[in-house]
Amino acid sequence: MAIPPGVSEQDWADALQQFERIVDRQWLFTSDDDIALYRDAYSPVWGEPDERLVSAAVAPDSAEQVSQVVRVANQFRIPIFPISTGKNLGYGGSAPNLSGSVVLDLKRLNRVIEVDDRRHFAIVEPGVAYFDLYRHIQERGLNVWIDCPDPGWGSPVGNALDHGVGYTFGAYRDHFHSHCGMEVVLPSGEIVRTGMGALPGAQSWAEYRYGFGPTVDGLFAQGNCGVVTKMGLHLLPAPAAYQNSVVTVPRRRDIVPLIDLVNELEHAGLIGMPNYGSAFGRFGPPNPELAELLDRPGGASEAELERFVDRQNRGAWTCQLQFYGSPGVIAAHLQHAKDRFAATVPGSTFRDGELLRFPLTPEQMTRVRRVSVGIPNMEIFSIGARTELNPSPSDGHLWFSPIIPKTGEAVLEAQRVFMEAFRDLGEPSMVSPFSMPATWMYRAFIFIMAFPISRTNVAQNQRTREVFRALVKVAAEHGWGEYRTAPVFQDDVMAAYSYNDSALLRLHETIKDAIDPNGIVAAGRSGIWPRHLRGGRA
Amino acid sequence: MHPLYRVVSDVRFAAGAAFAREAERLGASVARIRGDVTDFWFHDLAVQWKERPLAVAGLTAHGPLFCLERWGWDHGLRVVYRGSHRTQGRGIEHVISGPGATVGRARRLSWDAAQWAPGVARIVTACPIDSGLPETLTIARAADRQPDEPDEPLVSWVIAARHRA
Repeated sequence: MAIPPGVSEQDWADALQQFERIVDRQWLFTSDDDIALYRDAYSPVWGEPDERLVSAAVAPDSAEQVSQVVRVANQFRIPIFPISTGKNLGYGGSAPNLSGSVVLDLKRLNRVIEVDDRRHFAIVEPGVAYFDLYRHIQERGLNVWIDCPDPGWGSPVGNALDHGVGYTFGAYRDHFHSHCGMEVVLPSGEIVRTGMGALPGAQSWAEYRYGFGPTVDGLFAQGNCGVVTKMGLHLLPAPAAYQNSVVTVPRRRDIVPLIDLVNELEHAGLIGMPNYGSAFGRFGPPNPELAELLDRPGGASEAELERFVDRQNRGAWTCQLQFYGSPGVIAAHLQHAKDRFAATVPGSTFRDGELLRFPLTPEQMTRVRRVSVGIPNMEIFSIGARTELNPSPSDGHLWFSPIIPKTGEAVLEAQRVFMEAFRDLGEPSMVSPFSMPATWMYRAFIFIMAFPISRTNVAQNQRTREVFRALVKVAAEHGWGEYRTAPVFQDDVMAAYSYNDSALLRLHETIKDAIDPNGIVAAGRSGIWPRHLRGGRA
Repeated sequence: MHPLYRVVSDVRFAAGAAFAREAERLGASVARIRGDVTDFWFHDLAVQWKERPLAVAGLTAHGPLFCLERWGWDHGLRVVYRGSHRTQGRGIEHVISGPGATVGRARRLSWDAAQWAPGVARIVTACPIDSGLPETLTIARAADRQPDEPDEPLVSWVIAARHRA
């Protein structure tokens, strides 16, 4: 068992003794076998000296115990790293930024405190998984939906605090945006509640997030100013029905009006998450003519791609529109969408899916994408065939996820820029002229790519990190920054947010120094290091 | 009562189906999945593991084991036996790692194409839950793969409570 950096052997022994006194022996994990469980299963530095490893883990069962643990950590200057369910795969998992940290495992804070289906909110602890909240709602027949990511074994609190995202309707997909109020243990051990939670006896804690005065909640999301021990979440009222319809637009240049129209529908609250695609995207069958065009030096011009699409006569782009509500509302919204496209994109066609009324039959459940109707699941782990680009899918992946504007022009630019970047790096491109962004985030596109990770090929992982860092810089040069990333890259990504000589980072550091002068909580999270570790980066 | 609460089998694969049949013949209660462990977890194992750390075993693709292993950690359970069954060209390489008694049984099995999966069912259902020091055995068969079997590595496993020192 390694000792945390900067901690003496005596202080470490004393701290462990006090942790044990607080949580009981069975909830303090110090053996090699136990702490190995906190390795990031998808670490891009697996098995290398730079892999982020923990020195111990402690699992309290209440905010009060969290407070006591944090006070001990402060007393002995023990770096701690809070995790909820520890399932943040692709973005660091349960591993800390600072090797040698003690994981503060919040899995035992697993109470669903309240779900209200008249005002449509929940209040939960961080150890509650999406499955748990879903079960709570189903067992009580409550008239609300959750919005969950894919897979569903994560924590609504943990996911929101990493700016995670989902699949259903509007702002509910932006999980931090739909949070409402928190309880936080500060690095001093003090327990604070935000929003209406700061007013004793308030019944509206999970309704009105601002309370009075400046809103501090954002400090705790992708931040390291405290440990969140409770959170309110806004929930979607359960709709009566669901239907999707896929619109196809004929020409490559139709991507601009396509996205503009879908934005209009989505921002007006008429559709849920749109799913963009193309018959020529990387998950479609290989097209030899397209491959030949792309193999030319410098790739294909827009005019050549436009003519290619015209010759295929299959349409250039698709978008699955998802409708929620009563059948009458769905019919009206769908007709409106069709009318708008007919007036704006000549030649666009629709293919309507089945109208599904809730509750679904078991047979209908097999035909619907469960996350689209708020049902957590693990289907994503049943995908994973080996390919040339991903020879060991079971070893995991790393997400590169830059935010780009929600326009067709931005998508075309991102395609061009990233294809050129891969060419310059001498790597097979993960992007094609028909790559479309992910739409989990309600008000922005995520032009996401998945890099395979290897448990055995160190050289491959090293090269992946080089390419990743190069792409972070390329993205920044075009005004695109990652919304989320693994600890290994958090310094690089924060460096891209460099307006006014990195004034934002300096502000974060000023706040960090004030709230956590000993720098014990999640050192290095989002590139925000405590004073004693700044500059040298542990 | 069988020492294993459930035996999980991914029946997308012929080997999985053969494994399931043999496990049932040996008296185990089998949960058949098709790659997705959601329903087994949510409707069955999650409810049980909240109450007590029951042992489970299986022959699946990697994904289901990845999920169950991690869920098991939260309940004090660990993988006490692990077998890898990976195609290598036209053959299959089996790597067995577990308690000495289990590896000993594996040595005595027939590993040809039609026999290996039922054989693995026999060793996992008899796997001692209290494990000693693990041993590892590698068996490579040069031309033993069923021609229509998908090229997907499979894993056999036993997850059981591990008593901490």
